[in-house]
Amino acid sequence: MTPERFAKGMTWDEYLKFTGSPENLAREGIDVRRGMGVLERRLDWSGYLRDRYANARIGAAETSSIRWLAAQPGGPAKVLVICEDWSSDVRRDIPYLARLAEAGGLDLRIFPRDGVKIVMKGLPEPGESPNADLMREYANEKNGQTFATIPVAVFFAKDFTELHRYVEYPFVYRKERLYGHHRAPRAGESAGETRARAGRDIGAMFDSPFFDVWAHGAIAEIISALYERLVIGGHRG
Amino acid sequence: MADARVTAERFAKGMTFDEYLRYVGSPENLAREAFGGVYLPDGGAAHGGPRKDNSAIFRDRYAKARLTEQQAAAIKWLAAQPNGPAKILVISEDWSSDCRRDVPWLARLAEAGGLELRIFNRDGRKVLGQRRPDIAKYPDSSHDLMVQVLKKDERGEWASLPVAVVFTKDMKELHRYIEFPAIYRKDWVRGQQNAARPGESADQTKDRAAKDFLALQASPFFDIWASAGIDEILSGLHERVLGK
Repeated sequence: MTPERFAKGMTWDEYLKFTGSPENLAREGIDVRRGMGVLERRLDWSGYLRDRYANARIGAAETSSIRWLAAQPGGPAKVLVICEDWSSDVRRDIPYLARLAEAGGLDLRIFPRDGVKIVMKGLPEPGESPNADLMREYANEKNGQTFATIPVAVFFAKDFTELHRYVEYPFVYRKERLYGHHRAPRAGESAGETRARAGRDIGAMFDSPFFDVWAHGAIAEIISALYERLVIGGHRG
Repeated sequence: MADARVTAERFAKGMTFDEYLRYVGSPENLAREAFGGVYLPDGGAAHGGPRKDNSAIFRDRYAKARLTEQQAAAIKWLAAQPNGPAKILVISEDWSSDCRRDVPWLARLAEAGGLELRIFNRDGRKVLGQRRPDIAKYPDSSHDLMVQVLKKDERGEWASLPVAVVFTKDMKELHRYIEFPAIYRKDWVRGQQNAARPGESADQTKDRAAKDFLALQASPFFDIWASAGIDEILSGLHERVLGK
C-alpha cells in the first residue's frame, strides 16, 4: 500500500453518494434474503447505509481508546476498507467503521471489491477489476484456502505499517451457525417455503438490535487488537 | 449449571447489587482473606492476603457503566421471549479485577432487561487454596455453586471469577459467562506485562508489571472489555433463545 494508492479510495461521504449512483446500481449484486443468486442490477442501499450511519454511536470508552491509540507513536492513522454494499456484513460494519475513524481522526478510504461482475468464488484474477490487486493482497486465508471475504478493514500507521486486519464479522457473531439455523427446514415446510421463511428470518435479524450489538462487538475487537499491538507489542495470533 | 442445585430459594439468598455494594465495604467483608497474589501450580492461591476496600471502585464503575441503546434493546427483547432470561446468578470476589470490571456492567444489563440479579461470594473467610472448590473444607463458602461452573480449557479446570449464569424464570440455565470476554486475551497480556524488560531486576519487573496492570485497569480499554462481555452474553442468549 502506498499513499498514492490509498488516496484513490473513496471517503465515507463519497462512498455514500457512490452506492446510490447509476454507476454502482448497474453492477451485479446479491440479496441474501432471497438466496445467493446473482442479481443483474444491485439494490440501492444508500438510504439504508445513511440511516445506519446516522444511528451508529461510538461510546465514550471507544472514543477515548481510539483517540489514545491514534496519539501513540506508530498508532493507527489510516483505515483501508474493501467492501460491497450488497453484503450484509458490510452494511452492518462500515457505518461503525466510519464513526470509529471520525472519533480517532483516522483517514478512511473505501474500495469496492468487484467490477461489474461479482466475484463468486476464490479471488479475483489480477486486472479483473480495478481493485483486484487489493483484494488479492488482503485476502482471507481460512483452512488453507483464500477467499475474497468482505468487509476487510486494514488499519495502518501513518507510514503504512499494517497494525491490524479485521475481516467479515466479529467473534461474537457466529454467522454460519445462525444462518444454518434460519435455513434449516421446519416441519412441514416445502423447499420454497423454507427459502421464503429463511429470507424473512434473516432479514428480521438484520433489522434487530443484535445487528448493532455485533457491529459494536467488531469495534471492540478492533480496539482490543490495536491495544495489543501498540501497548503490549504483539500480533494477535 | 445443574438445575437441581440452584433452586429459586437458593438464588434468592444471593445479594442484590445494592446489597453487594454495601457489603464490599463492610467490616464483615474486609475481615475475609483476599487473594494473596501467588497462584499454586494447581490453580489455587498460595496464601490469603489482606482485603482492600474496593467499594468505591465498584460504585464509580457502576455510575459510569452505560449499555449501548442496542444492548439495552437486545436484552429487553430477549427477556420478553418465552423462556427468555429472567435471572442472573453472579459469583464474585471484589479482589478480582475481572469482577470489578464486569459486575457493575452485569448490574446494568440486569436493570435494562428487568432481570433479577443475585451475587454470591465465592469464598468464605479463607481464600480458596486449591484448584477445586470443596464445600466440606470451606463450609462458609459458595463452593457448592462454584464447583458447577468451573472454567475448563486445555490446562484443566479451575474456579475463575466472575461467573454469570443466566436463567429463565423457572431456573433453566441459558448461558454462562466466565472470567473475561474472548477478545480480552488476558493471559497473554499479563504474560507480556510480567516479562522482564532488559536491565530490570526481578523486583523492578514485579513493580513495573503491577503498575502496568493498574494502568490498564484505569484505562478506557477496561470498559471496552466490560462492554464486550455484555455483547458476548447477548449473542449467546440470542443463539439460545433462537433454539441453537
